[in-house]
Amino acid sequence: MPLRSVKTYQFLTSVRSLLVRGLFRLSEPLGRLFIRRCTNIANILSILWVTLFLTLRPRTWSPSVRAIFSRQLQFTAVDSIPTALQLSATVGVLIIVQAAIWMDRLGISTDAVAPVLWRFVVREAAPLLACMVVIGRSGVAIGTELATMRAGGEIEVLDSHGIDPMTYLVLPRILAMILSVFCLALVMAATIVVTGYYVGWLMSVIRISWIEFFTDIARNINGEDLVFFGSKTLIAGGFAGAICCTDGLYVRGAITDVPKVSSRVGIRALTAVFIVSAILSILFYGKLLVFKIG
Amino acid sequence: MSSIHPVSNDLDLILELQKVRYGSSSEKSIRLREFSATINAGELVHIALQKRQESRDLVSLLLGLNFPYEGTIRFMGNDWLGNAYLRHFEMRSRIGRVFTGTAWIQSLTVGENIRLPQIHHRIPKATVRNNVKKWATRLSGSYLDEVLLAFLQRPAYVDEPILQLCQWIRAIALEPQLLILERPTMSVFDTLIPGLVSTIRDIRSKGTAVLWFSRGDEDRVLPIDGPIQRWSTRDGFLKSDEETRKV
Repeated sequence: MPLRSVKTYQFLTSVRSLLVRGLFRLSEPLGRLFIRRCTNIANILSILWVTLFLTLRPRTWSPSVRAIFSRQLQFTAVDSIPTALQLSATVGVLIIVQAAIWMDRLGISTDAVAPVLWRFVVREAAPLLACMVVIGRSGVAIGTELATMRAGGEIEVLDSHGIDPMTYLVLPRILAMILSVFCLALVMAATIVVTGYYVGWLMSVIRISWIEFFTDIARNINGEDLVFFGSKTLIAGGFAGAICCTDGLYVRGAITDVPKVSSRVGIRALTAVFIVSAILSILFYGKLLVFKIG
Repeated sequence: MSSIHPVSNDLDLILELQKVRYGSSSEKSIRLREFSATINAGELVHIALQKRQESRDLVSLLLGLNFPYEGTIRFMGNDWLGNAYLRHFEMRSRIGRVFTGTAWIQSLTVGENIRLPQIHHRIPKATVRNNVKKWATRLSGSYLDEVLLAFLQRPAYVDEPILQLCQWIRAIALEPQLLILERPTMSVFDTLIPGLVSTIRDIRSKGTAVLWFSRGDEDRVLPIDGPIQRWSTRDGFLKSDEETRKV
């Protein structure tokens, strides 16, 4: 065999062994990461399952649990309405301006903006925005509160009195978050559409009367929209709530660990909401971006 | 309907420890080695803690929040094993506790904290109100106004002696079968001690067993009448009355 070929062979062999060794070394942390992710998802799903089970059991709803639930709903949903209105009004203006620009460029009549606006708002924008408001305003607060309680030994106080922390602390908070996301998404969808119409009308982008505009929207509402809207708000809200509660309760060590939880919980919940939303879209449309699945 | 049924024929038996082995490496923790003892209705057990020893771990064990390495602990004939969580929570609802350390949910007012265990276990609100009022009046003496004011405030804003008194009110208003007092005289006003002693006597006469932890010279000695079992710790291990006598 010529010398050059031998050298090439040796070089390729060493590269291959390096690659194999590198892959072996990489496989351990990757495997560990994968297992950790799977465990996290299993934890969240089990918390959601227990929440559903306990919610349906009448015995769960003791006066103290009802009181905590109504207090949490007040804080998460009712008190968030002004923030939700401001945010959705701004988004309504941005959407209508973008819609007008792109429809003009594509040569589509701007009168067709109503169904497009409605679909985008109901199926994607409103559920995501509502999740963002709820996580930013309440999710982080829930995670911090539970982490403080855990680190301060308050969970043991509840346990000692025969009060199940899952029933008293976790269930009302997750349920309140789910309901809040659903209700705020409704409010935000309505605000975006109304603001969008009026701004579009003032800018002469929309030239039809408000009766025609909203009749057009009403005509375009179908069962699919409701399925999209319901599943995206309820499932994403549930995941956000479960993540905020589990991250708070799994804090270890002292009170100094609480800020770490506060900074982590919002990001983790938002990431989960975007992932859940994307997975649901893929499932509903049967498409991944432009590629059809199945 | 209650799901707690006394398993043993002995209806007087409140707490039973059988050959329990437990303990952490921390010198603060009380350790148990083949420890067996019983506490009957109306009995008072005094456990003298040594310097730096803490009762929290042991109490958590008795409440089924920690598990022994070996042996069995039964409360009213029922053990803390298995997945019968509902039964365990119901069992704990019959145990009153005056804590050392963290004792309050900081996001609730003191009054809400006191009423919470009873309301959670579906005792009618009117009964809860009457119970709390009755015990607050009896235990607070001349400090009743301060205690009633504290009911409206969060624990962080209430003075330690009043908070300790509120702990007594919460523990006794539950009408427990077992009352666990962890260094209960800490920061209590001297003038209130006779009232606390007479309260202990009364609830014992109604069948409540009392487990009372105190630490050497740091805690006041209550002039308790009636029979007292004395458990002590030696080399960090808990010894019952009989074992102490043998030693």
